Amino acid sequence: MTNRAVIDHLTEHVAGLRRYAFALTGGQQEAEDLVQDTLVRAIAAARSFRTGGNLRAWLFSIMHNAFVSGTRRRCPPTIALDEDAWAVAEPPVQLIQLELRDVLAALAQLPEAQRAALSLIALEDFSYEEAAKVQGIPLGTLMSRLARGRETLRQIMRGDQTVPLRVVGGKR
Amino acid sequence: MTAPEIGEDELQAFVDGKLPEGRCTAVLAHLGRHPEEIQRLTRYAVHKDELRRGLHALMLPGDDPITAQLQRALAQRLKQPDYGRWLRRVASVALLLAVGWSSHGLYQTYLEPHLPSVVIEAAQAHEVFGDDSQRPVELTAASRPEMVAWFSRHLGEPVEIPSLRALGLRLMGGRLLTGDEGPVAQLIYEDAAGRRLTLCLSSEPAIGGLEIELVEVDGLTAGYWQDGELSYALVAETPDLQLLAIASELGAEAPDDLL
Repeated sequence: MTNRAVIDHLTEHVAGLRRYAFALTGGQQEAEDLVQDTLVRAIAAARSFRTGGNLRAWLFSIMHNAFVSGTRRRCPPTIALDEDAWAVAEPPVQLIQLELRDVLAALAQLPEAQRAALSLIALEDFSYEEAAKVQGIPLGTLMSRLARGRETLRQIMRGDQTVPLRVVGGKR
Repeated sequence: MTAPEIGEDELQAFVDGKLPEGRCTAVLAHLGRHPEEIQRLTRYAVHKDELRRGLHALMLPGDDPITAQLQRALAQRLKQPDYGRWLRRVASVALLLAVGWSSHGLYQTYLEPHLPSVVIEAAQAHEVFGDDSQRPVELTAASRPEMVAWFSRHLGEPVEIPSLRALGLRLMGGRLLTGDEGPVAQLIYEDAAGRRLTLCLSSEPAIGGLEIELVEVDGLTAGYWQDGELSYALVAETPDLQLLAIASELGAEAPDDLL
Protein backbone atom coordinates (compact mmCIF):
# COMPACT_ATOMS: atom_id res chain seq x y z
CA MET A 1 0.00 0.00 0.00
CA THR A 2 1.28 3.45 -0.79
CA ASN A 3 1.69 6.02 1.94
CA ARG A 4 -1.12 7.99 0.35
CA ALA A 5 -3.56 5.14 0.79
CA VAL A 6 -2.41 4.70 4.36
CA ILE A 7 -2.95 8.37 5.12
CA ASP A 8 -6.56 8.19 4.03
CA HIS A 9 -7.16 6.33 7.27
CA LEU A 10 -5.39 8.89 9.42
CA THR A 11 -8.58 10.55 10.66
CA GLU A 12 -9.92 7.19 11.72
CA HIS A 13 -6.64 6.38 13.49
CA VAL A 14 -6.67 9.71 15.32
CA ALA A 15 -10.20 9.02 16.58
CA GLY A 16 -8.95 5.62 17.79
CA LEU A 17 -5.95 7.23 19.45
CA ARG A 18 -8.26 9.63 21.26
CA ARG A 19 -10.31 6.75 22.70
CA TYR A 20 -7.22 4.86 23.77
CA ALA A 21 -5.84 8.08 25.27
CA PHE A 22 -9.05 8.50 27.26
CA ALA A 23 -8.79 4.94 28.55
CA LEU A 24 -5.19 5.58 29.59
CA THR A 25 -5.61 9.00 31.17
CA GLY A 26 -9.23 9.03 32.29
CA GLY A 27 -9.73 12.65 31.26
CA GLN A 28 -10.91 14.43 28.17
CA GLN A 29 -8.32 17.21 28.22
CA GLU A 30 -5.54 14.83 29.21
CA ALA A 31 -6.56 12.58 26.33
CA GLU A 32 -6.41 15.45 23.83
CA ASP A 33 -2.99 16.50 25.16
CA LEU A 34 -1.73 12.95 24.77
CA VAL A 35 -3.07 12.79 21.20
CA GLN A 36 -1.27 16.04 20.36
CA ASP A 37 1.93 14.91 22.03
CA THR A 38 1.71 11.73 19.94
CA LEU A 39 1.18 13.61 16.68
CA VAL A 40 4.12 15.93 17.31
CA ARG A 41 6.35 12.94 18.00
CA ALA A 42 5.07 11.27 14.86
CA ILE A 43 5.81 14.38 12.78
CA ALA A 44 9.33 14.54 14.15
CA ALA A 45 9.89 10.84 13.51
CA ALA A 46 7.95 10.55 10.24
CA ARG A 47 11.04 9.44 8.40
CA SER A 48 11.24 6.30 10.50
CA PHE A 49 7.84 5.20 9.21
CA ARG A 50 8.35 2.64 6.49
CA THR A 51 6.30 3.05 3.35
CA GLY A 52 3.64 0.37 3.43
CA GLY A 53 4.09 -0.14 7.17
CA ASN A 54 1.28 -0.41 9.67
CA LEU A 55 0.48 3.23 10.38
CA ARG A 56 -2.06 2.42 13.08
CA ALA A 57 0.34 0.21 15.04
CA TRP A 58 3.11 2.79 14.58
CA LEU A 59 0.92 5.59 15.95
CA PHE A 60 -0.36 3.53 18.85
CA SER A 61 3.18 2.60 19.88
CA ILE A 62 4.20 6.24 19.78
CA MET A 63 1.23 7.08 21.98
CA HIS A 64 1.94 4.29 24.39
CA ASN A 65 5.54 5.43 24.68
CA ALA A 66 4.50 9.04 25.13
CA PHE A 67 2.09 7.99 27.87
CA VAL A 68 4.61 5.82 29.68
CA SER A 69 7.33 8.47 29.59
CA GLY A 70 4.76 11.05 30.62
CA THR A 71 3.64 9.11 33.67
CA ARG A 72 7.23 8.38 34.58
CA ARG A 73 7.84 12.10 34.61
CA ARG A 74 4.73 12.91 36.59
CA CYS A 75 5.98 12.79 40.07
CA PRO A 76 4.59 12.03 42.60
CA PRO A 77 2.44 9.31 40.98
CA THR A 78 -1.17 10.18 40.44
CA ILE A 79 -4.00 8.72 42.43
CA ALA A 80 -6.49 6.53 40.63
CA LEU A 81 -9.81 8.24 40.12
CA ASP A 82 -12.70 6.78 41.98
CA GLU A 83 -16.12 6.42 40.50
CA ASP A 84 -17.32 9.76 41.84
CA ALA A 85 -14.40 11.54 40.31
CA TRP A 86 -15.31 10.13 36.92
CA ALA A 87 -18.92 11.05 37.33
CA VAL A 88 -18.14 14.58 38.40
CA ALA A 89 -15.09 15.35 36.34
CA GLU A 90 -16.18 13.91 33.06
CA PRO A 91 -19.39 15.28 31.63
CA PRO A 92 -19.26 13.00 28.56
CA VAL A 93 -19.38 9.98 30.83
CA GLN A 94 -22.59 11.20 32.41
CA LEU A 95 -24.28 11.21 29.06
CA ILE A 96 -23.81 7.57 28.31
CA GLN A 97 -25.73 4.59 29.51
CA LEU A 98 -25.34 3.58 33.10
CA GLU A 99 -23.77 0.18 32.59
CA LEU A 100 -21.26 1.65 30.21
CA ARG A 101 -20.38 4.28 32.75
CA ASP A 102 -19.95 1.61 35.40
CA VAL A 103 -17.55 -0.39 33.33
CA LEU A 104 -15.51 2.72 32.49
CA ALA A 105 -15.38 3.63 36.16
CA ALA A 106 -14.22 0.09 36.92
CA LEU A 107 -11.60 0.35 34.21
CA ALA A 108 -10.23 3.48 35.85
CA GLN A 109 -9.58 1.51 39.01
CA LEU A 110 -7.32 -1.02 37.33
CA PRO A 111 -3.57 -0.71 37.60
CA GLU A 112 -2.22 1.24 34.66
CA ALA A 113 -0.59 -1.69 32.87
CA GLN A 114 -3.73 -3.83 33.02
CA ARG A 115 -5.90 -0.91 31.95
CA ALA A 116 -3.69 -0.33 28.94
CA ALA A 117 -3.74 -3.99 27.88
CA LEU A 118 -7.47 -4.38 28.37
CA SER A 119 -8.53 -1.20 26.60
CA LEU A 120 -6.20 -1.70 23.66
CA ILE A 121 -7.59 -5.19 23.03
CA ALA A 122 -11.17 -4.01 23.50
CA LEU A 123 -10.78 -1.01 21.21
CA GLU A 124 -8.51 -2.03 18.41
CA ASP A 125 -8.44 -5.16 16.38
CA PHE A 126 -4.75 -5.81 16.86
CA SER A 127 -3.41 -9.34 17.05
CA TYR A 128 -1.94 -10.15 20.47
CA GLU A 129 1.52 -9.95 18.93
CA GLU A 130 0.86 -6.48 17.54
CA ALA A 131 -0.67 -5.29 20.81
CA ALA A 132 2.38 -6.52 22.74
CA LYS A 133 4.62 -4.70 20.29
CA VAL A 134 2.58 -1.51 20.62
CA GLN A 135 3.07 -1.64 24.38
CA GLY A 136 6.70 -2.68 24.10
CA ILE A 137 6.23 -5.80 26.22
CA PRO A 138 6.65 -9.56 25.63
CA LEU A 139 3.59 -11.47 24.45
CA GLY A 140 3.43 -13.42 27.72
CA THR A 141 3.33 -10.20 29.72
CA LEU A 142 0.47 -8.88 27.62
CA MET A 143 -1.49 -12.11 28.10
CA SER A 144 -1.06 -12.11 31.86
CA ARG A 145 -1.98 -8.42 32.12
CA LEU A 146 -5.05 -9.08 30.03
CA ALA A 147 -6.08 -12.06 32.16
CA ARG A 148 -5.47 -10.26 35.45
CA GLY A 149 -7.13 -7.10 34.20
CA ARG A 150 -10.25 -8.95 33.11
CA GLU A 151 -10.50 -10.83 36.38
CA THR A 152 -10.06 -7.69 38.49
CA LEU A 153 -12.62 -5.86 36.37
CA ARG A 154 -15.09 -8.71 36.79
CA GLN A 155 -14.68 -8.64 40.56
CA ILE A 156 -15.09 -4.87 40.72
CA MET A 157 -18.22 -5.08 38.57
CA ARG A 158 -19.62 -7.85 40.76
CA GLY A 159 -19.00 -5.70 43.80
CA ASP A 160 -16.62 -8.25 45.32
CA GLN A 161 -13.85 -5.89 45.36
CA THR A 162 -13.88 -2.33 46.39
CA VAL A 163 -10.58 -1.10 45.28
CA PRO A 164 -9.45 1.65 47.62
CA LEU A 165 -7.70 4.69 46.27
CA ARG A 166 -4.24 3.61 45.54
CA VAL A 167 -1.16 4.77 43.85
CA VAL A 168 -0.87 3.83 40.23
CA GLY A 169 1.72 4.60 37.66
CA GLY A 170 5.44 4.43 37.75
CA LYS A 171 5.57 0.80 36.72
CA ARG A 172 5.47 -0.56 33.25
CA MET B 1 -7.31 -40.84 27.82
CA THR B 2 -7.94 -37.45 29.35
CA ALA B 3 -7.95 -34.36 27.20
CA PRO B 4 -5.09 -31.94 27.90
CA GLU B 5 -6.11 -28.96 30.01
CA ILE B 6 -6.65 -25.67 28.26
CA GLY B 7 -4.47 -22.82 29.47
CA GLU B 8 -5.65 -19.33 30.42
CA ASP B 9 -4.10 -17.81 27.28
CA GLU B 10 -6.36 -19.92 25.10
CA LEU B 11 -9.40 -18.96 27.14
CA GLN B 12 -8.54 -15.28 26.67
CA ALA B 13 -8.10 -15.91 22.95
CA PHE B 14 -11.52 -17.58 22.92
CA VAL B 15 -13.07 -14.43 24.40
CA ASP B 16 -11.30 -12.30 21.81
CA GLY B 17 -12.08 -14.55 18.87
CA LYS B 18 -8.37 -15.02 18.34
CA LEU B 19 -8.07 -18.78 18.80
CA PRO B 20 -5.85 -20.44 16.23
CA GLU B 21 -7.74 -22.54 13.75
CA GLY B 22 -8.51 -26.00 15.02
CA ARG B 23 -8.42 -25.10 18.73
CA CYS B 24 -12.06 -24.16 19.07
CA THR B 25 -13.29 -27.72 19.50
CA ALA B 26 -10.78 -28.41 22.25
CA VAL B 27 -11.75 -25.21 24.09
CA LEU B 28 -15.46 -26.00 23.80
CA ALA B 29 -14.82 -29.51 25.14
CA HIS B 30 -12.94 -27.96 28.05
CA LEU B 31 -15.86 -25.64 28.77
CA GLY B 32 -18.17 -28.67 28.64
CA ARG B 33 -16.16 -30.22 31.44
CA HIS B 34 -15.96 -26.93 33.40
CA PRO B 35 -19.35 -25.21 33.09
CA GLU B 36 -18.42 -22.69 35.81
CA GLU B 37 -15.85 -21.30 33.39
CA ILE B 38 -18.54 -20.42 30.87
CA GLN B 39 -19.97 -17.84 33.23
CA ARG B 40 -16.60 -16.26 33.88
CA LEU B 41 -15.72 -16.02 30.18
CA THR B 42 -19.17 -14.67 29.37
CA ARG B 43 -18.63 -11.83 31.83
CA TYR B 44 -15.28 -11.07 30.19
CA ALA B 45 -16.92 -10.90 26.78
CA VAL B 46 -19.74 -8.69 28.05
CA HIS B 47 -17.29 -6.32 29.74
CA LYS B 48 -15.16 -6.16 26.63
CA ASP B 49 -18.19 -5.19 24.60
CA GLU B 50 -19.27 -2.61 27.17
CA LEU B 51 -15.79 -1.12 27.33
CA ARG B 52 -15.68 -0.79 23.58
CA ARG B 53 -19.14 0.73 23.41
CA GLY B 54 -18.47 2.94 26.42
CA LEU B 55 -15.28 4.38 24.96
CA HIS B 56 -16.99 4.87 21.61
CA ALA B 57 -19.98 6.54 23.24
CA LEU B 58 -17.94 9.11 25.12
CA MET B 59 -18.49 11.64 22.36
CA LEU B 60 -14.98 12.92 22.72
CA PRO B 61 -14.96 16.05 20.61
CA GLY B 62 -12.83 15.61 17.55
CA ASP B 63 -12.74 19.26 16.64
CA ASP B 64 -9.70 20.51 18.48
CA PRO B 65 -8.06 22.90 15.98
CA ILE B 66 -4.53 22.13 17.12
CA THR B 67 -5.06 18.39 16.80
CA ALA B 68 -6.52 18.91 13.34
CA GLN B 69 -3.57 21.04 12.30
CA LEU B 70 -1.08 18.49 13.61
CA GLN B 71 -2.93 15.72 11.83
CA ARG B 72 -2.66 17.61 8.53
CA ALA B 73 1.03 18.25 9.15
CA LEU B 74 1.61 14.55 9.79
CA ALA B 75 -0.27 13.55 6.65
CA GLN B 76 1.86 16.00 4.72
CA ARG B 77 5.05 14.51 6.10
CA LEU B 78 3.99 10.96 5.41
CA LYS B 79 3.08 11.77 1.83
CA GLN B 80 6.65 12.82 1.15
CA PRO B 81 8.77 9.68 1.16
CA ASP B 82 11.63 11.64 -0.33
CA TYR B 83 12.83 14.16 2.18
CA GLY B 84 15.01 16.89 0.82
CA ARG B 85 18.04 18.06 2.61
CA TRP B 86 16.25 21.24 3.37
CA LEU B 87 12.60 21.87 3.60
CA ARG B 88 10.87 21.71 0.24
CA ARG B 89 7.27 21.36 1.17
CA VAL B 90 4.66 23.29 3.02
CA ALA B 91 3.84 21.77 6.34
CA SER B 92 1.63 23.35 8.91
CA VAL B 93 4.11 23.10 11.70
CA ALA B 94 4.37 26.86 11.96
CA LEU B 95 1.79 26.63 14.64
CA LEU B 96 4.18 24.67 16.79
CA LEU B 97 6.00 27.65 18.12
CA ALA B 98 2.77 29.17 19.29
CA VAL B 99 1.52 26.16 21.21
CA GLY B 100 2.54 25.02 24.63
CA TRP B 101 2.65 21.37 25.60
CA SER B 102 1.88 20.02 28.97
CA SER B 103 4.31 17.17 28.90
CA HIS B 104 7.75 17.13 27.51
CA GLY B 105 11.24 16.80 28.87
CA LEU B 106 12.87 14.44 26.42
CA TYR B 107 16.12 16.24 26.82
CA GLN B 108 18.67 15.61 29.43
CA THR B 109 20.25 18.40 31.34
CA TYR B 110 23.94 17.95 30.86
CA LEU B 111 26.70 19.62 32.72
CA GLU B 112 28.09 22.08 30.27
CA PRO B 113 31.64 20.67 30.01
CA HIS B 114 30.24 17.50 28.37
CA LEU B 115 28.65 19.40 25.53
CA PRO B 116 30.31 20.07 22.20
CA SER B 117 31.56 23.63 22.28
CA VAL B 118 29.33 24.65 19.36
CA VAL B 119 26.26 23.89 21.49
CA ILE B 120 27.40 26.04 24.39
CA GLU B 121 28.42 28.79 22.02
CA ALA B 122 25.11 28.53 20.21
CA ALA B 123 23.21 28.88 23.48
CA GLN B 124 25.34 31.82 24.60
CA ALA B 125 24.99 33.50 21.23
CA HIS B 126 21.25 32.94 21.36
CA GLU B 127 21.09 34.70 24.70
CA VAL B 128 23.24 37.57 23.50
CA PHE B 129 21.76 38.11 20.05
CA GLY B 130 18.39 36.43 20.27
CA ASP B 131 16.98 39.37 22.19
CA ASP B 132 18.93 42.09 20.49
CA SER B 133 16.29 44.11 18.74
CA GLN B 134 18.75 46.84 17.73
CA ARG B 135 21.29 44.86 15.80
CA PRO B 136 20.35 41.19 15.80
CA VAL B 137 22.35 40.33 12.68
CA GLU B 138 25.43 41.53 10.86
CA LEU B 139 24.23 40.41 7.48
CA THR B 140 20.54 40.59 6.73
CA ALA B 141 18.58 37.99 4.84
CA ALA B 142 18.76 40.23 1.78
CA SER B 143 22.44 39.45 1.42
CA ARG B 144 21.98 35.72 1.41
CA PRO B 145 24.49 35.00 -1.44
CA GLU B 146 27.11 37.01 0.39
CA MET B 147 26.40 35.08 3.57
CA VAL B 148 26.73 31.74 1.79
CA ALA B 149 30.13 32.71 0.39
CA TRP B 150 31.32 34.20 3.66
CA PHE B 151 30.27 31.23 5.80
CA SER B 152 31.53 28.66 3.32
CA ARG B 153 34.93 30.32 3.17
CA HIS B 154 35.36 30.45 6.93
CA LEU B 155 33.93 27.04 7.71
CA GLY B 156 35.86 25.42 4.89
CA GLU B 157 32.71 23.62 3.74
CA PRO B 158 29.93 24.55 1.37
CA VAL B 159 27.19 26.00 3.58
CA GLU B 160 23.55 26.21 2.62
CA ILE B 161 21.21 28.61 4.30
CA PRO B 162 17.94 26.84 4.89
CA SER B 163 14.67 28.59 4.41
CA LEU B 164 12.20 27.84 7.17
CA ARG B 165 9.54 30.05 5.68
CA ALA B 166 7.16 27.14 5.25
CA LEU B 167 7.32 26.70 9.00
CA GLY B 168 6.41 30.32 9.49
CA LEU B 169 9.96 31.27 10.43
CA ARG B 170 11.54 34.22 8.68
CA LEU B 171 15.30 34.39 8.21
CA MET B 172 16.54 37.63 9.69
CA GLY B 173 20.18 37.13 8.85
CA GLY B 174 23.39 35.88 10.33
CA ARG B 175 26.81 36.57 11.69
CA LEU B 176 30.10 34.82 12.08
CA LEU B 177 31.34 34.10 15.59
CA THR B 178 34.66 32.85 16.85
CA GLY B 179 34.30 29.63 18.79
CA ASP B 180 36.72 27.42 20.70
CA GLU B 181 36.83 24.96 17.83
CA GLY B 182 36.89 27.47 15.03
CA PRO B 183 34.39 29.79 13.38
CA VAL B 184 30.66 29.39 14.05
CA ALA B 185 28.03 30.67 11.64
CA GLN B 186 24.90 31.85 13.41
CA LEU B 187 21.58 32.22 11.61
CA ILE B 188 18.65 33.90 13.30
CA TYR B 189 15.03 33.21 12.45
CA GLU B 190 11.94 34.84 13.83
CA ASP B 191 8.35 33.69 13.98
CA ALA B 192 5.28 35.86 13.48
CA ALA B 193 5.20 36.73 17.18
CA GLY B 194 8.84 37.83 17.20
CA ARG B 195 10.20 34.76 18.97
CA ARG B 196 13.69 33.89 17.85
CA LEU B 197 15.26 30.62 16.85
CA THR B 198 18.96 30.38 16.14
CA LEU B 199 20.81 27.80 14.10
CA CYS B 200 24.57 27.55 14.45
CA LEU B 201 26.82 25.73 12.02
CA SER B 202 30.42 24.85 12.57
CA SER B 203 32.98 22.47 11.21
CA GLU B 204 33.79 21.24 14.70
CA PRO B 205 34.49 17.57 14.14
CA ALA B 206 32.72 14.52 15.51
CA ILE B 207 29.93 15.79 17.72
CA GLY B 208 27.78 12.79 16.89
CA GLY B 209 25.67 11.61 13.99
CA LEU B 210 22.46 12.53 12.28
CA GLU B 211 20.44 11.57 15.33
CA ILE B 212 19.65 14.68 17.31
CA GLU B 213 20.68 15.11 20.93
CA LEU B 214 18.41 17.36 22.95
CA VAL B 215 19.79 19.23 25.89
CA GLU B 216 18.81 22.06 28.14
CA VAL B 217 21.31 24.84 28.48
CA ASP B 218 20.57 27.77 30.77
CA GLY B 219 16.84 27.28 30.42
CA LEU B 220 17.03 27.11 26.63
CA THR B 221 16.32 24.03 24.59
CA ALA B 222 19.13 23.07 22.27
CA GLY B 223 19.38 20.25 19.77
CA TYR B 224 22.57 19.26 18.01
CA TRP B 225 23.60 16.81 15.35
CA GLN B 226 26.19 16.31 12.67
CA ASP B 227 25.59 15.97 8.97
CA GLY B 228 28.67 15.23 6.91
CA GLU B 229 31.41 17.68 7.81
CA LEU B 230 29.12 20.19 9.45
CA SER B 231 27.84 20.33 13.01
CA TYR B 232 24.48 21.90 13.70
CA ALA B 233 23.08 23.39 16.89
CA LEU B 234 19.52 24.67 17.05
CA VAL B 235 18.49 26.82 20.01
CA ALA B 236 15.19 28.31 21.07
CA GLU B 237 13.15 28.91 24.13
CA THR B 238 10.59 26.34 23.14
CA PRO B 239 9.45 22.89 24.24
CA ASP B 240 11.75 20.12 23.09
CA LEU B 241 9.16 18.42 20.90
CA GLN B 242 8.72 21.55 18.87
CA LEU B 243 12.46 21.94 18.46
CA LEU B 244 12.58 18.32 17.42
CA ALA B 245 9.98 18.84 14.72
CA ILE B 246 11.93 21.82 13.35
CA ALA B 247 15.26 19.96 13.51
CA SER B 248 13.78 17.06 11.62
CA GLU B 249 12.89 19.48 8.84
CA LEU B 250 16.55 20.41 8.71
CA GLY B 251 17.65 16.83 8.22
CA ALA B 252 18.24 15.66 11.78
CA GLU B 253 16.91 12.27 12.80
CA ALA B 254 14.63 11.89 15.77
CA PRO B 255 16.08 10.01 18.74
CA ASP B 256 15.20 6.32 19.02
CA ASP B 257 13.54 6.66 22.39
CA LEU B 258 10.94 8.95 20.86
CA LEU B 259 9.16 5.90 19.56
